Amino acid sequence: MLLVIISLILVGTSANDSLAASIPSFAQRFNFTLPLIVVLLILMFFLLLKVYTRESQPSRSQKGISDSNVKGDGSKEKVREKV
Amino acid sequence: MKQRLVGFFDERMDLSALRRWAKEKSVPQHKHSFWYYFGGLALFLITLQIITGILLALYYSPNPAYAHESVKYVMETVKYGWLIRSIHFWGANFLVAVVFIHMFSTYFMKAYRKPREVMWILGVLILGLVLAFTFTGYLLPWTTLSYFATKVGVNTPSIMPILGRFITRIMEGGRDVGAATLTRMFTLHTVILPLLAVLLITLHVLLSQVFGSSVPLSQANKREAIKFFPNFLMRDAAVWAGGLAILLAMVTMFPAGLGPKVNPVMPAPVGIKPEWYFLFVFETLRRFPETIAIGTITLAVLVWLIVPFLDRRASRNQKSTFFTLFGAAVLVYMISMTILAYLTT
Amino acid sequence: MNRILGGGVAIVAAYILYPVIRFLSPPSVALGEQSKVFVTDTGIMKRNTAKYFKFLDEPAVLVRLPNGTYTSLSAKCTHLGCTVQFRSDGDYFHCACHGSEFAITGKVMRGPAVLPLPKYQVSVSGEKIFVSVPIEPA
Repeated sequence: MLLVIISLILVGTSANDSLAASIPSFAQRFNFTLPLIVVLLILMFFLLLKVYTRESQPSRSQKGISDSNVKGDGSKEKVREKV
Repeated sequence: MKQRLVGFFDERMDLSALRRWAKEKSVPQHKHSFWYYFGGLALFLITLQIITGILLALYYSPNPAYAHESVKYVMETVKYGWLIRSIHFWGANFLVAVVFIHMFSTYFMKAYRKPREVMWILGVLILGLVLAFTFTGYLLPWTTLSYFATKVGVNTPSIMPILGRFITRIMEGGRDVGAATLTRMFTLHTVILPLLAVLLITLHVLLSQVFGSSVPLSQANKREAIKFFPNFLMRDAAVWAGGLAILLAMVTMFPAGLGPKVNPVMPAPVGIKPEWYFLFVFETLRRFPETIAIGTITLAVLVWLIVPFLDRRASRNQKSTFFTLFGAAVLVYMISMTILAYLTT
Repeated sequence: MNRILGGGVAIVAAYILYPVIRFLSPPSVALGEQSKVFVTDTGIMKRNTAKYFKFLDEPAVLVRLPNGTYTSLSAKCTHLGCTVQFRSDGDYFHCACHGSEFAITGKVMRGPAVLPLPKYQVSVSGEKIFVSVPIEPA
């Protein structure tokens, strides 16, 4: 997360805009997008955290999966028939 | 409230099948599972392209006199125009990369083997559509670069015997790339290709629901899986959030540029070259006579398209080293030609 | 019975498809009317320079050679259609798209192009320079 932000600042401040000054400056663009980028990264972090906590405890949701698991050859029906 | 709403629709639409699907759908887990995320990411990026594309179409004018000016207006005057157009620009680049990764990963995992042959063919066609989107969208800003890129593109079929000239004329809409070409590319980009894309992508995704994710042969003994809903979907969402964050970072650092407006009478400027994903075609065209270059590429694409039917061993769930090597050769050729194009221009 | 039905559907489909295909292919322009165009006045172009213009809906170029005479060629690269650039440093044409090079006569000097650039007829009447399609290929 930090890495993205730091690289953003580094590249952004050193890069001279290829476009004319007629579009918002880097600082203006950065001010708009940075909060969204931070929110997205936090969101990503909590999604992964939630996935991790769900999957690390063997819950009921983990059971009964093998019977619907699709094999590479598409033998889904066969597996289910056996069950 | 939520209960009543669900009940209302359940009575009228019978959601039980949907519920069963959500309960049963699972995604296999093994050491190559990482590659499964690229399909979902492609879908996410396509959604982004549709939204930003519709917004851009509101201001765009497909006429040589106004096309460049209207794009300039979006970038400079329209509020957040730079943002919308830059997302569309970077989204297209990301989408091409993600679709290529998705295709090569499914190729090397031999996910095309029975029963997923149709899914594979649909996938290759969708990649073709994505490239067609980038090609038709490229002309729209009416810059020098986009003009000559389109010239090369529409003239390429003309080397094909019999039908070639006809196809070029249909794409150009005149004797040369001009006003008629611009409206044709615009119509393709905003009407015809989107309709086709929605159709093919729906079928592709529908089939992936029917058959589930393919497990590579080397991992066939693994029986681990995670539920799609909500576990895998949450992982997917995390990837989307991360992807969007990187996309926005690129948009902020390098907003889409706009080259000078084309003067169709003037010669092509020195040093022009296509976008990175067409560089291997470009380099091939520079190094070989065009009939050989285009003939070979066309043949390779055809083989690529019907590879599930050629690779009989994979269909019998046996290792098929030849096709792994063929895929690797294609990949190495594409990468080395791309690097060569960078080094020599 | 089925054959009649199928045939009927095929006829309807063909009847719809034909005008659609004709609609898609652009109407051809009568070239006769524009087969001779005025390009510039004499004495305007310096020696060893080129002037680009549209001829037969395609880019063409008029070059004033170092010896003062004029020559005119199609500027559309015979490889894949980019407009070739006149290089005054050696009197040849260079295509920036894929690197083809043509001599001032139109002959291919370097690939990937295979065919030469078509040559046009230059005629001077009074002080005006006209370019036209040669009646017999040069």
